[in-house]
Amino acid sequence: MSEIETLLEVKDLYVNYKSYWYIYKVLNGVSLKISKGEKIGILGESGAGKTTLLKSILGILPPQGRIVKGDILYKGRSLIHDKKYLNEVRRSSIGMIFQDPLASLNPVFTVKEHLLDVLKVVYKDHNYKESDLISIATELLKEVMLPDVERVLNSYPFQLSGGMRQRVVIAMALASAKELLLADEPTTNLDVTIQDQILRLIERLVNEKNLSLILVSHALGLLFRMVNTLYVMYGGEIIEYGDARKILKEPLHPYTKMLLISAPRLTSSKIGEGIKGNPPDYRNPPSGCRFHPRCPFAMDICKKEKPKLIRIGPDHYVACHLYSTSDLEKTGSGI
Amino acid sequence: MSILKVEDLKKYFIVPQGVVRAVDGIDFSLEEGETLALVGESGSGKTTTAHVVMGFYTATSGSVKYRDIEIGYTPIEKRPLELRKEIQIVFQDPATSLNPKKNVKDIIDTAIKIHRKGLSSVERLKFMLSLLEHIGLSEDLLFKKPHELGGGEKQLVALARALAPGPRLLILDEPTSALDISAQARVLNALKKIQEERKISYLLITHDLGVVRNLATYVAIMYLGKIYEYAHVDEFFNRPLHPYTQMLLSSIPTLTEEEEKLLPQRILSRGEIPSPMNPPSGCRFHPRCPFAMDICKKKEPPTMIIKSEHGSHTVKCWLYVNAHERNLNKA
Repeated sequence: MSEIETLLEVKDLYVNYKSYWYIYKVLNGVSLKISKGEKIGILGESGAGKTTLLKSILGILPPQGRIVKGDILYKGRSLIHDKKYLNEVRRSSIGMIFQDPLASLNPVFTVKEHLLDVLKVVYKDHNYKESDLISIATELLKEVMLPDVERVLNSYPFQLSGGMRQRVVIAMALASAKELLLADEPTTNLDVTIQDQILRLIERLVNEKNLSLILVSHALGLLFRMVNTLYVMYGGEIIEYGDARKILKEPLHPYTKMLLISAPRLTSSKIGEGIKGNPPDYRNPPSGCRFHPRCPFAMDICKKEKPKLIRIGPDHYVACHLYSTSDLEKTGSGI
Repeated sequence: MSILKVEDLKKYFIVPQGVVRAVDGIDFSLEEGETLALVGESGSGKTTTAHVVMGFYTATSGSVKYRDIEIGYTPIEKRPLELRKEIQIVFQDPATSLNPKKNVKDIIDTAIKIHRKGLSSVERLKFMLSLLEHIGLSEDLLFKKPHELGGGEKQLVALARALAPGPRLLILDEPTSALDISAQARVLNALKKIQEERKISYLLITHDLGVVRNLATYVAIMYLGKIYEYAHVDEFFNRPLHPYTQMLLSSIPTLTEEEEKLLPQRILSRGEIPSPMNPPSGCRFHPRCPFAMDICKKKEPPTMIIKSEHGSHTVKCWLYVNAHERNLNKA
């Protein structure tokens, strides 16, 4: 295998949110890596810290959020410590599709104004006239397969349907996404038929422009269709990652196993029990493995020690004491 | 006797820009202890139908019969308590349908107080505890407020509230679309168990075909205020007929190869649902249909009955008209 350029690396990231009384310890040592042209997915329930992770990468955490430890490297340079570099990267390399298109578009501005705002920043150094920028905006809208571009440019968000709004948001993300596209649940509020169209659009754009993709979702089917590598998050930690197909066939972590059997299938009318209990309370997260209060296989060690990510097979890592070193020494498949 | 029979139901809304034909002539019936799933994209009129049955809106024309009593024109506040008790609803988003200032006990207690008069407070509490146990909620939740509960638990509380009066028909308006997978599994399992034990009929409104597979007995596909296909759930997944149904099915992202096989040959989704204010002529699906013919633009297709193992399978599509006529000629 030739050397693969690592594009983005998140190293042991800890993020806290502060409220009036409490500190919410959300991200708890998250690491991930994405190389050029790779497509990775992040799976997790709501409140697992998926959006926080994406926002940390772009440096757009709300004022209450703070990165307490860890680092985020883009092409080997830190985005956290070098604000100038962060702006540079945001301007010309990374784009993000936000979750709710109605909330991420300003209701009092037209689509044209939205796009021009983005483009003015992206092409700051080019000395473009406004008419040039408008033609770039038109191109972008055509690229996301919007019909009747002239009308869309002069429309306000409320005049567009959900699918069209999401296409506008994708066009805005594409303006700056020259290398990496972050997509935060891009199809959650859409109907299945529109969801399918939007996914095919994102798939096509990513392939055509050779972008790297980080797709965040809690929809299993969507992730397995779109990504090569899957990270499973629970309670602000990555508990399993590896080849998406492998994880689907042989999930290792008890959480991933239970999640997969809970998904309703078209082939049978039987579904799993669901997972008892609630996601962790970040004010006072469980000690050791954050999943232990809901885990049917919890042992003593799970309450005391946070499990490390260990390699189980090629392209498959899991953080669970069930698979800890003693087992691996036996099978000899340790790192 | 069907528990619910809807015939040629229409519900129009008059707005300054014109008339919105939210529901435009639909027929279906629901038998005791069965589940009918109304499936469609947003804007297809599913929720409007449910709200007419509930009495939040009154029908424009047509009839809605609950056990042979016409209820379509009686708004909920004019319905007798006896009737209100029998038809209950679980809303889509439990975060907005539960009063944030009340605790779980008060939320459920209100329903019991109204519909089961003459119980002492101890009896009410006993009833409530047995109900919670039945649904699979722990009694520790009684004095918690909605914001202290997880999404799945909240929806189960909403379900307990709807079950407290002792309904015979339960309307489920997208009961799991606001929930995560694991919470969804919990709610679906509770719904299945309750139906098995109490023989309650469900009118399920959803756009998630995975949920339909798990809960429904019959499926009705709605598009722009009309029902385009109606079939038993087994028949529906094995032999989807209408192009729109096939588009819906092939849009679902699948997890396994077995699921993939079940889906019809891929009909790529295209276009969006038009506004119900100005629906397309003829078959309302024709602008998005890959098989659209000339006649589709001009004339509304008739409802064809196609024979199947599981009772009637009806489809409203010109593609099946000729086939049907051929069959008639043979016979």
